[in-house]
Amino acid sequence: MNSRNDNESPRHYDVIVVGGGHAGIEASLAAARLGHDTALVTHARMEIGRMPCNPAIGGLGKGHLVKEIDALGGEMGRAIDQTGIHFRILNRSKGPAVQAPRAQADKLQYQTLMSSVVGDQDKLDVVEADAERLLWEDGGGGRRVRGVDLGAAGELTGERVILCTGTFLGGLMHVGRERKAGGREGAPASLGLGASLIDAGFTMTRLKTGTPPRLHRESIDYDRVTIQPGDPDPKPFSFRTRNFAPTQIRCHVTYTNAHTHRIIRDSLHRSPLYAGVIEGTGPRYCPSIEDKIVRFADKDRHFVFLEPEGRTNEEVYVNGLSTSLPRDVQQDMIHSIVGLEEAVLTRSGYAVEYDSVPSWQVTSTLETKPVDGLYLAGQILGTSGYEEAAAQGFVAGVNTTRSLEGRPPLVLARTTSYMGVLIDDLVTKEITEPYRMFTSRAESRLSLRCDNVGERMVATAREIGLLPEGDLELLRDRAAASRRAVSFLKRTRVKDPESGNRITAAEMIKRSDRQYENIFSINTTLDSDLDEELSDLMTTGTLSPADIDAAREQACVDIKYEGYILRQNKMLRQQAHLDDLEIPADMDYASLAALSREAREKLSLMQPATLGQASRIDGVRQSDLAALSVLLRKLKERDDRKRT
Amino acid sequence: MTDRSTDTIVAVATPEGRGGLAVVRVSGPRAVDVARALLPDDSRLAEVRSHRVFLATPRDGATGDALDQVLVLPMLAPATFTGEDVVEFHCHGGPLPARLITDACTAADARPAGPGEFTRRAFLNGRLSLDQAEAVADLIHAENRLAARGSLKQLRGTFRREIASVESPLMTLLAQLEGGLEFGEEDALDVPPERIADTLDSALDRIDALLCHADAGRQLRDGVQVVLVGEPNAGKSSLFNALLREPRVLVDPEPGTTRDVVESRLEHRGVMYVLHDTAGLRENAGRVEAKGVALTRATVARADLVLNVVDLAAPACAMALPDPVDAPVLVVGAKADLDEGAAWTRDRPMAVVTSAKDGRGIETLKDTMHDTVVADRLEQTAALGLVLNRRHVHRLRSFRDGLAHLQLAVADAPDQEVICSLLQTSLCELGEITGRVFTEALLGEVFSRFCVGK
Repeated sequence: MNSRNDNESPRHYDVIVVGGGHAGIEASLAAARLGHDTALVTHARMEIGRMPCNPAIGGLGKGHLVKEIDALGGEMGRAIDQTGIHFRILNRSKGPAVQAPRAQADKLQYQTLMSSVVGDQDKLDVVEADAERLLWEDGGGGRRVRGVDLGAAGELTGERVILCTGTFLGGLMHVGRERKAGGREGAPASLGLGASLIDAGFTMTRLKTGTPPRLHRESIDYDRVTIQPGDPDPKPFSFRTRNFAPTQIRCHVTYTNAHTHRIIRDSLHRSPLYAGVIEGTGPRYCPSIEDKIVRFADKDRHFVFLEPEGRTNEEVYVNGLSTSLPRDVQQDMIHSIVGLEEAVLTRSGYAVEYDSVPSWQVTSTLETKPVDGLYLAGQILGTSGYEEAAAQGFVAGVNTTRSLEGRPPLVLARTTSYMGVLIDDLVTKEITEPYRMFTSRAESRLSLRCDNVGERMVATAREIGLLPEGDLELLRDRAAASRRAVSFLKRTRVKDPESGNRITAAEMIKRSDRQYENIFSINTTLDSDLDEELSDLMTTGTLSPADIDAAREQACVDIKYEGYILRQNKMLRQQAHLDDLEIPADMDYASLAALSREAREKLSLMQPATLGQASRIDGVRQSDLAALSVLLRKLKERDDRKRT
Repeated sequence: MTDRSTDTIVAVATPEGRGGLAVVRVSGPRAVDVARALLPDDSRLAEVRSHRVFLATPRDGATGDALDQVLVLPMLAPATFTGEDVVEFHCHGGPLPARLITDACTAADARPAGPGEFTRRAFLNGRLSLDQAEAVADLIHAENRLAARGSLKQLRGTFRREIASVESPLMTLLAQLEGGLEFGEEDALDVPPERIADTLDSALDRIDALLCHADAGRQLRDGVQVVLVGEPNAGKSSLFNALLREPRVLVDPEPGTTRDVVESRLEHRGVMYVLHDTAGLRENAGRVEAKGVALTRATVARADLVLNVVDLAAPACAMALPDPVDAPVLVVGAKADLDEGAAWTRDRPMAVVTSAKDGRGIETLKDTMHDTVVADRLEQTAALGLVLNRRHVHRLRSFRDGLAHLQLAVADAPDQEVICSLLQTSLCELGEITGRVFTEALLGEVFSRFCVGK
């Protein structure tokens, strides 16, 4: 391709985003929408927003991320709401903090939508080309990014560059013993860019991920597999989506069996994973089927989810059967599964190895430490998943504009968002397998819920300034509604059906199981009084009845969890204090004899920005932190003395 | 910029005025230079052989007078207590020799150590974990052989192993619960409620057993609190003096002489006792004495053992204690030399009959005290190395409370994420014992407990 089609003459941009995946989309939209001339470099305009693996968005932790991005003015939530074909809230039987939305996308529609959103965006140019090399210059006390070399298409220069290259750096695909260079099926790998990153002073590491085979949808015997319907009352991801009534199609479930397992075991020697051909480390939480058979030998069956890739798309994604076994083994193993006896493989599963940049090389703004003005986001930093990528793309995009404007960066706290947890983990953890978000990564899990996402993000959203005034007002009013509902429920007394005493509605909620609506249906006056309480918010027109219901639900959860959250926060408070103790950027750990050798190495490598970050680095011991805290105090005293 | 302390510190490392030996410890990059200043021209310091002790006679740098004959123990970094170069002078006991050596070191440009500075340096140099540092603190506070044994064990990590044995099944449970939350949609990974309850029950049992040692541990560290009570003029103060073999308390036949609570320490068979002599318990006392009586009540409430002293010469004395007492009570007959109450004792249960005057029964009383409060319990605690300090006990109690709270919550079948949250909060309390969770407050608490010299 290597052709520029939006602009005939080379231009200089404020922000250049390389890669049109989920990170690149959010990064380029945020930068352009915040008023900066932005270029999105991608090898094919129509591939923007492609889902090379599972055509699904959301899930535990991930759904939380999407809702947070949405509340801050990102695109992913709105896009999946418009193109989803199957919506479910996961963990409905469990508590509100671990419930999250997940949706199957019509993957082609999603791509088409995202391509046009990006294409229509003011101040955003799509440049169809391959970024072959990073450009930088030395001087002024550091190394500074200059742009990217597009090969035959020449140099593209910019003030800031965000690399969102996914699995393309040194990508190598494996099917059995066959190997093929490429970032994903049907797309070439990027070789030069990785080499130029090493030239620029980056350390690289090798990671691995995989994808299952796809089946022809007409070749599945649907009578022999279990139907998994979408939720009857589907809920949108985006708080901005109105009149949400998607037509859903079904997914299906089937299982592997002893025969399947035997086929796989007998062919392990032909697996590149077990034959030692693959060097990269794969994710433990998303094992290939051969991994599952070996590691969980006592399990006699594994789930296989059949997920259509779209309304009209003829392919079905076989979730749970990620594999890099040779094609003939994949075929045998598929045919051994109930309902798939006659299934036709349209594409084989494969493993892909790729280069990533260990994430300790970025700060929490996602700007790199070796090269000023260069930002990284998504799989290039070792994460996995569209949602994780989008979150980073968004943060990087906003932060390029902050730095261009000379304003303080956007840094989200671990205690208020999953996005904060994600970024903090990236800068403090040595990632040895593709990083995926889990709710258990969040110490403040009870407070980081989907139901209160608006309240959590509204202040930051206003500060970022991506949301139109009307949407900000909606977030603000919803937060106000739930706060007012809480105080109303705390002061309003109702009759306790058990004891006959009059107790507050809040006490009743604390005692009840999660069927809060029962309390309102028993106490009809409570129901109407609460509506009355919130009536002004409804009449001003921002809040719909559905918003009021959501605010009411959130209020009940807030009340129910209040005591537990207090306990949780008590534990976290002292940690928060450490997060306020900043460590100077030029800290020379090598000369600090008080630190253990391991800590010296890790701290020199990671260069944490605060004592809180240092405390989360593996290998940094209590004594090291004590020494550091003493030192920081000494430094501060010295600085204070200097100042006076 | 470096935190490697540039200065060299010195202090007496042994408790003041005790024992036949005093140790002066010098630590820092110039420790050996300081020693050379005290022992100029000593060839054994020309090229130091680490961890080899030798006999020498340091002299005053200015006058050339001999200070003391001492054992010199140079130890080179990093294999030392502080992780720095250390020189120890083991000199004769008593305050004077140690002070002379310390002064000479100060003259050689060593700085007197601040409270806890040696241990702080050891800690900062990564020589001690937090709980080891605390064990050292307790070692310093330990005032007798038993407690010393306990502290050394803890240093070796017995305590940490005990904590781990409580922690690890709970960590497993937490991991299983988390698995159920993260992957429960894909697979039936839920932990049955009985499993949760069982795991909590057994953790609570273990922690209760551990807490049982807490009281015993406190007694090892601070001494067994023995309170003498009785009617005015029953002979408490005389008995107190007889136990200590010294006239510590003013004795007078006038009732109500002791108005304050007087305490003194007594070591018997390896156990430290703190004896408290109290004001006599009398209803219609004067104002000053009434205050003394109130103080007596408070002291009795904290007692590990109460000696109810009865005047054998005044058999009309009632044996009434102020309030019900939790601690064991020994009824001790006093003034047996007067012998007038011999007949009276035959009708009353009397643990020991004593005479402060002729020393009758005093050693028997000490042995009875030992049998009553110490016996196997303290021995066991010391052997297990479970000399828990206040911070440990506080954390263990919070941990226990957290688990108990969780046990109650589980009965209500709350959402599993709530169980996880409560469990994590509780486990954090344990982390604060082993130092896994870092807080500056915690460090402040730890270091405030170190005395000069360690």
